[in-house]
Amino acid sequence: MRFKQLVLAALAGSALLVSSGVARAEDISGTIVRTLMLSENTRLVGDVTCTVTGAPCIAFGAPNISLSLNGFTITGPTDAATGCKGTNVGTESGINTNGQSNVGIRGPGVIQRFQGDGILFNGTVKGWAQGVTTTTNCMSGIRVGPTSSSISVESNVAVRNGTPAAACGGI
Amino acid sequence: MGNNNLVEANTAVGNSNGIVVFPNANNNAIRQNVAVGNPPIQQSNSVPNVPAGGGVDIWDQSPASNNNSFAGNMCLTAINAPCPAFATQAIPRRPGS
Repeated sequence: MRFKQLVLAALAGSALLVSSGVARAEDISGTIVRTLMLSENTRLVGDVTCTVTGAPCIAFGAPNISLSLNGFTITGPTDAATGCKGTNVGTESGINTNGQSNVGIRGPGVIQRFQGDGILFNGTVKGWAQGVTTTTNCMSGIRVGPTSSSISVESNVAVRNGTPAAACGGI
Repeated sequence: MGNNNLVEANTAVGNSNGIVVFPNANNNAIRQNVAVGNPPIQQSNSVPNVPAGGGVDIWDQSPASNNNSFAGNMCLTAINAPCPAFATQAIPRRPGS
């Protein structure tokens, strides 16, 4: 009984953590209800469910940091079985590098079911995505935007991303 | 895709397109990837675009003068990229190996 109370307290603490706008801690899990801005090296310690609309689920807020998926899954609000609600929403990416340089996302781990891209390198100079699985995102699994350069996209797996409406896809 | 990027040793299967290089992209290297089965057969059958299903395994939308390079990719369908190709070195591998 005491153990169960400790677990519930830990879960409640995690929910509070990911509900805040700025990540002060290194570990995240649970439900994200508004864009989580990373300010330091961060890792997942459990699966993440994202209910953010009209904005990225996770965005980098500082240069020279990384996000480790640590074997866990980030799931967006789109039900892939319903065909991405009939449209793409470019602002609703799973992870947006947000103009920060020298940032990266490390797998293994899964990013799925976002109305936009799974990972969007946006205005980033030097960055990397490595060992990540992206699936059933409505735009690209991993997109390197036109204002990003020197990005390494290596050893990732992209399955069932994109819709026929746009020239998106795996990478 | 922007400039001076590396897309290497990835696997793209069953997407609307496998790997897309956008029109203004310059000096990108796309090598040793496995891109097959894009778009998935369900999409190919239901979307009567050209190319079939509206997508391909590798699509280079940039002009040749943009100096994007493709080497050692395993793919079947493409626009402006060297497919079909069956390169033995394009085997999915672990990061860093």
